[in-house]
Amino acid sequence: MTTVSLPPAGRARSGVRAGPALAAAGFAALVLLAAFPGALAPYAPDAVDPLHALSAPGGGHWLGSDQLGRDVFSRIVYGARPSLVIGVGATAVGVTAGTVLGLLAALSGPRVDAVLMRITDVLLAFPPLLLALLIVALSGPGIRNATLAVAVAVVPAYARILRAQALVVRRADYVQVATGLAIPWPRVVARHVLPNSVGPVLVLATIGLGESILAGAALSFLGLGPRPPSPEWGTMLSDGRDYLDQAWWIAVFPGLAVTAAVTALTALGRRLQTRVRDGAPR
Amino acid sequence: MTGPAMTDPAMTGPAPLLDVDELHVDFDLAGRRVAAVRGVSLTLRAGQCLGVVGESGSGKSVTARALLGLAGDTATVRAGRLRLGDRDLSGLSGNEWRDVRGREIGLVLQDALASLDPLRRVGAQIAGPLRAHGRLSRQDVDARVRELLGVVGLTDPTIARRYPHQLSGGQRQRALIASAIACRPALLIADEPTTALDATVQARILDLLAEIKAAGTALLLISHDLGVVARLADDVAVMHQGRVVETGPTGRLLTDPQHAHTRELIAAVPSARPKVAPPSPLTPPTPPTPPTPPMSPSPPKPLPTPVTSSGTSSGAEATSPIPDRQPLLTADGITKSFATRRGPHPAVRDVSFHLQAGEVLGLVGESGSGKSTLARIVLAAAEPDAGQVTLDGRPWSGVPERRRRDLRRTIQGVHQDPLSSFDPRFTVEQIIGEALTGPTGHRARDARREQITALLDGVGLAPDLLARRPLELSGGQRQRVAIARALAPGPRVLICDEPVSALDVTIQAQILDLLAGLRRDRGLAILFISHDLDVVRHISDRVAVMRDGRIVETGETESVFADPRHDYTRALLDAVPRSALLSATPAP
Repeated sequence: MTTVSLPPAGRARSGVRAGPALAAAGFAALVLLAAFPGALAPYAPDAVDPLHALSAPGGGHWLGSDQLGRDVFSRIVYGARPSLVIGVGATAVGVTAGTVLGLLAALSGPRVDAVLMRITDVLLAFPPLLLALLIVALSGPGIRNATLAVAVAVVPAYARILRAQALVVRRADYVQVATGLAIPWPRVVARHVLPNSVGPVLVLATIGLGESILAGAALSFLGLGPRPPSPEWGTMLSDGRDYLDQAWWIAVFPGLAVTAAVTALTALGRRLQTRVRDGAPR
Repeated sequence: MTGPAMTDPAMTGPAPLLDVDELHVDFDLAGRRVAAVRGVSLTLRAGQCLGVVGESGSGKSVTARALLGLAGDTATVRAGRLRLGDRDLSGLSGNEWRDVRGREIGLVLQDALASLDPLRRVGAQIAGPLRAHGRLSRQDVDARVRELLGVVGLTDPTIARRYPHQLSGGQRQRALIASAIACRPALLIADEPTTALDATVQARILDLLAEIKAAGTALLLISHDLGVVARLADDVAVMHQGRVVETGPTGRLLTDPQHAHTRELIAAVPSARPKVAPPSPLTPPTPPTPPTPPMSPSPPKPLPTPVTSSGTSSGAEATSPIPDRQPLLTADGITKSFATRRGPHPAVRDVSFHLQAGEVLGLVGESGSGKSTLARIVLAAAEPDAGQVTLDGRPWSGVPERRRRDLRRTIQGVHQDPLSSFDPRFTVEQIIGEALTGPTGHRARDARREQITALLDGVGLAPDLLARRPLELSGGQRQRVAIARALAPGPRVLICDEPVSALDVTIQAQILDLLAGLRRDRGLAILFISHDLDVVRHISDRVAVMRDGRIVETGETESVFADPRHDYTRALLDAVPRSALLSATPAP
């Protein structure tokens, strides 16, 4: 008797893939920088050293020093925190407000829904950054105002997505069953509707985190974020702009920091999105 | 190889077309090796039909897939012999398999809607295998598609230009069969080809398969339904846990089953079970039920009590409800329409019925007859456009939710699709726990778990399922969890929408017994909706036949089954493959 084997077609999915791993490492580094800047930065962020102003990368200053002799690397390290605070804070506020508004719109009847959705329509008509700019311009610069401005700018998108999701879940059979068990409606919303609607919003939020950081840096670049001399990537970029022809490093390294942070977060978010969509175990 | 070898058919007559010996299929599941098929041997000659019967998980579908080289990436297929005609199927490469599929072996699956590409016209899909294998010119392909549509009984010339969703379930299955036989394969594998279809449509599809067989194609028919297999198969192989436990000519296997599992399968077919003695010609000339024309909008007349209980069995005592007792649930003149692009479509029209404690009313009808809409209305998940539902003497439809709340738990439903009725994030324990009353605190946890375990036990599930989530359950387990949940609040009325149609016959029998027991012991009233006449007949005291949103006939179960008054009821009854099983003769 001959025994024939059809070997299983091998699946090329071995080990950890480089992309996501790199993104995760980048995010971890960002969190680390924001949490312990003092342990990682060789200098204080505002230590002025006029003797070594505008010195090139290498030697005493890994990434060079700026026009006042402040260490660029240390300032980037210390700049991680405000960037992250604006990004995370704005996303958190945006997601929370968006969730509440989306749930309200989906569950409180056609009139409330119509009013809320028309408002989001109007807000969505503006590019988020422009909207944030408008709000900060009205409320004045500063880290808190910048955070809130970015949050308001991202709320409509989250509200929209949550509403769409909740409209579907509200009609799901298991919600009907819960109603059939005489479970009070607020509890049905808390136990079934909200948890089953919020997934896509959370995934989007990881991508939005990167965008919020970028928006925060943009506001700072325009002088609407944290006030100088406190280090912030956008502010550093803006300062370095004037010295670009003599000392490129002052602007380029903070720019790279923003780019790397946003890329890492976006990549991570996309990866998460794919996994949730493909029904990976939660 | 366990079980008797399939030698006798092979020894007489010419060499078999399909010759499988010692087929093993193992799956590699996350490093764990699971043997799905363990040494299956089958032979099949041209123009013959071999039925493979077994419960879900018995390995019958995996066997079929292995014959097509479709067992999947994680499977390892080993076989002593795997031959089709004079071709050796073992060790074919991907390209060689593609050559075999469609041209030498055709495949028909249960779910035609899922098998057909929703974005391509039916004609193009039937032409697909012709283009892939044949050397036919474009005109010849078109002609062959028309011919094939004719062969499968789709004579409407516009069908080729339609999309799958524009066809009915039966038409889709026909189209799928047309594409499977397009290249005149020597072997057609049909995996549960009629399971998703209504009884009348099912009968016609089986006739079509019989014609294809008569034209000389070998047919490998896979089904959990002995009735279907008995109607078509010359030989039957019974599979259990990856092995063929018994094979033989259909007639002998049904009349004289050797293996315990075969007997179990036969015994579990509702029509073969005790309550239903073969339809007795001695049934009284049915004066009791006045010929029931489409329901009038008048209040429901209490049905006349059966004159005698002659000819009926155990169910009869429970059947005769005390005539003057108030019905637990009444529906009066229920009408419901849905808005469609072509105007309102009436789903339920002027339907009335009533249900007393301890009574089972079977509601029969094909898909689209309005059964499920009616169920939703009775469960107060939808409001009727007109008419009134009363529960326990109180208005149930058309009142604010607040006034329904204290009655909600007295009426529970078992959904047709249990998976969608579970919160996907919940575990079985949470799902059933939610339906329980009583204290929910931390201290009550053990008591609750005990209750849940008892409910699971009642539907034949082990407590190790408690931590599973719905997606980790099999179809049968989901259905049983749904039933356990429906029973958790201690309802007095149960609305079951196709509660057992997804289950294997042995589990089906178990659930039916459970429901019958609850009806007897607790006086549970059940509205039992199903397209499966055997099941309805087995459990119901009365039946109502629904068509196009109306109840066309109602009456005592036995009198309706023995002497159907309405043409449609007769058509339904004629379509059931049951007769083949009862008389235990193989189809010609």
